[in-house]
Amino acid sequence: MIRFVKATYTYPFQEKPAVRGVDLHVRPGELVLVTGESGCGKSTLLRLANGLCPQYFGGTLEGDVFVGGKSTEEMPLKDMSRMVGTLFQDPEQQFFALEVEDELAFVHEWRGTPAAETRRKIAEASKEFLLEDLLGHSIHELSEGQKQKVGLASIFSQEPGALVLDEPTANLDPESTVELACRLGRLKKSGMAILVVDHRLYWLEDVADRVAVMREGVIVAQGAFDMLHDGSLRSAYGLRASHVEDVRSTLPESAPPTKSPCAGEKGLRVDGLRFAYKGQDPLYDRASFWLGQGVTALIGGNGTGKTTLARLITGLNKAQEGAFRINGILFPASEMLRHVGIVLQNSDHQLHMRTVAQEIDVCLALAERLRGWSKSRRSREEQRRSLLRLFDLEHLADRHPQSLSGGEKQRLVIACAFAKKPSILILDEPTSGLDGGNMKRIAKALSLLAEQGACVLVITHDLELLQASCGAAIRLPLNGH
Amino acid sequence: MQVSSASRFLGMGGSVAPDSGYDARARMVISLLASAVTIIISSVEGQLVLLGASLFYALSIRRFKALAIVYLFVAFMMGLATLCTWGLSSVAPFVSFTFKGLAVPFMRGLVMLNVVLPLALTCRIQDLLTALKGLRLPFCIYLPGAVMIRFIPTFMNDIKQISEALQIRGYTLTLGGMFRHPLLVLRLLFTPLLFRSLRTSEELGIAAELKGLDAQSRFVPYRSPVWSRKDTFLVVAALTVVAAALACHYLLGRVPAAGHM
Repeated sequence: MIRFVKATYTYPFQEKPAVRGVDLHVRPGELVLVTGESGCGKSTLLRLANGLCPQYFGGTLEGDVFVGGKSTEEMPLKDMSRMVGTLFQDPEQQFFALEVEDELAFVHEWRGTPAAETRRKIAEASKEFLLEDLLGHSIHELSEGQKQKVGLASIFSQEPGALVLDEPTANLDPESTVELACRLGRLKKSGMAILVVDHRLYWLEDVADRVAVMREGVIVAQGAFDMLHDGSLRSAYGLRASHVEDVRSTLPESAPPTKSPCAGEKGLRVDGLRFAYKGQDPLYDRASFWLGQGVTALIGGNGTGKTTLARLITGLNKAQEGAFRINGILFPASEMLRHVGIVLQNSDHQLHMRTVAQEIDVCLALAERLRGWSKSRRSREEQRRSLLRLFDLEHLADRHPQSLSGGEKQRLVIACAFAKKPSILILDEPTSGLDGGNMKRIAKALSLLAEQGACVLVITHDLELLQASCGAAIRLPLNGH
Repeated sequence: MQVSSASRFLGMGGSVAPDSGYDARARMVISLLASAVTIIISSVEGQLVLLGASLFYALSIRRFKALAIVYLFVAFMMGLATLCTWGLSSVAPFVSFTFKGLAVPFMRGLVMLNVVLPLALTCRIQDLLTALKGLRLPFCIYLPGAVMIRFIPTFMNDIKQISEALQIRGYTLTLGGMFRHPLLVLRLLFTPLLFRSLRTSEELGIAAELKGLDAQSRFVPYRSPVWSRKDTFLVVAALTVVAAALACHYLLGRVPAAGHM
C-alpha cells in the first residue's frame, strides 16, 4: 500500500538529504513502526508517505514513493489525503475549524458528503473516542491529550486505506494508549496499512509487524519487534525501552510530614483549593495536597485538570479559594510565581534571544535580580556552561533558539527554568516527543535538582520517566474533589 | 476538563464555544460595509460615529478581555507610528505631524478591528467559507480571506501565551522599561510572535491541503446557516449608522483632514 523505493529526499535550501535510499514497504493489513533518535528523518518519511514532501514543502525527491500503486508526486494532495490519513505530532497542526464538532465535520463537508452521512460519521467517531461531551467545545480549550483524540477521531472517520501516525501517543494517558493499540490492531485486521513513527515502543509490542530503526536519514536496522529487546541495539541508536513497567499504582502518595502546617517544613502545602471554570462544576473543591522534596508525579487521565492544577499553584489561573504555603509560610497566589518555576509545553512562545547561550544568560541574570544575588561574570559563564552540558546543548550554543528542533527547544526551556534555581519546579510533559537518550537526560537532570533540595512536580503520562525519576505521586482527582 | 487559560482569556469561557447568534453573512455584510465607508469618510466627526457604533457592536460579543488586549496591542503600534512620524517630522519638516492626520487612519484601523473581531471570534469557519463561496469570489481570494479570519483567534492566543511566558521568566514590562529598552521589548514580544505566526500560517496551509480545500471541491454544509429577523435588524442598524456617519461627515466635517490616508 505504502512503498518507498530507494527514496532520497532533500528539503529546499539544504545540501544534506533528510532521508537517504529508503526502501520500505507497508502492505495492506500490516503495521510498521519507524523509530530512531530525534532528527533522524522519521517525520520526513511520513511527509513523503502523505505527499506533503515534496508537493507542499518543495525540495527534491529521488527514487519513488507509491501509495496504492500511484506515485505520490503525481497525485494531487487532495486525492492523497483520501487514501492516507495523517496524524501529526502536534494535532493542532491539522485543525482548521475552531470547534470539535466542526473539526470532525470539516473534511466531510469539503468532500461533498451528504449532511446526514456527515452527522452519522461525527456521531460514530465521537462515541468511539469518548468525545461526545466535548463536541461543542473550542479546540483551544482542550488538553493536549484531548486534542490528540480529536485528531485521531477525525482521521478514523475518514476511513482511509492507509494511516500514517506521528507520535500518536505523545500526549495520551496509558489507558488511551492501550485503547489506541487495540484499535490499530483491529484496523490492521480489516486490511489497513499503518505506518507509525514513535519514540515510545512498548505499546506496539503486540501490534507491530515490523520495526525500522533510522539514523541520519537511513534505515539502519529492520526486523520483527523482538529485535528491540536487544539492549545494545537500543542504546546504540538512542531508543526507548521495549517493555515498560507501569509504576503508577506502586508510587507512594505524596504525604505531608505533619497533618497541619508547621514552620520549618520543607515543601509546598496547598489546602482548601477550590476552582471551577465559568459555568462548569468545580474541578477542585476543598482539595488539599502536599509536594515534598524530591521528584513527584502528578498522575491523572486526559482532561482531569493536571495542567490547570499547575497553573493554579503558580497563580497563572486564579483559585477561587485555597491556602498556599511554601516551607510553612503562607503566600498569596499572586506571589507564587516568584517562588515556583514552571515549564509549559509551548516552547515556541518562550524563546526570544538571538542565541541559545544568550537565552540562558538572560535567565541567569533575571534569577539574580529576582533573588538579589550578585555573581561575577565568570561564575555566570560557568553556570551557563554547566547547564548547556547538562542538557546536551553545548554544540548548539550559537544557534538561534527558534531554529532548533522541537526536542532541542524543549531541553532549552527546561535549562532556562533550571537557571532560576527554583526551590519548586513544575514541568508539564517534559519528555513528550523525546527519544530515549534525551528522556534519560531529563530524568537525570530532575533527579539532580531534587538532590539539591528542590521539590519537583512532573505532569506526565510517560511511564519510562515515571519509572526513571519519580519517587512519589499526587493522583487526580484529589481528595475533596 | 483541562482548559487553557489562553482560551479563557480570549473569552472562550464556559464549557461550550458560544454561538454567535447572528448569521455569518450578516457579520460579513457589516464588515464589508464598514471597510467601504471608513475609507470614504475622511473627517474625524464621521469616523467618531463609526468608531462609537462599531465599538458597541464589538462589545456586544462580550469578549471584553480579548478586546482589551487587541486594543492594547493596537495602541502600542499606534504609539510607535506616532513616535516615528514625530521623529521624521522633526528631521524633515515637510512631513506634517498633525492630530487629524494621524487620528483618522488610527480610527479607521479601530473601526475595522471592531467589525472583524466579532466575525473572527463568533462565526464558524465553515459558515464563513460558505458565505465567501456564495459571493462567487475566485478561490484564490476567498481562501486567503477565510484563513486570515481563522488566523485571528490563534494569533490572539499566541499573544496571551507569550505574555504569560514573559511573566513566568520573571520579566516585568513597564511603560518606562519600554522607552528605556525599546529594542529588548520588541525582541521579547515580537520574536516569538513572528515565529509562531509563520508556523501557524504554514500549519493552516497544510491543514487546508489535507482537508481537501480547493476550487473544485463540492462543499456540502452539514449545518445550514439560517438568516433570521435578527440578522435583518443588524444589517438595517448598520445601514442607519452608515447614514449617520456620512451625514456627520458632510455636515460637520466637510474639510478633509490634513495628511489623511
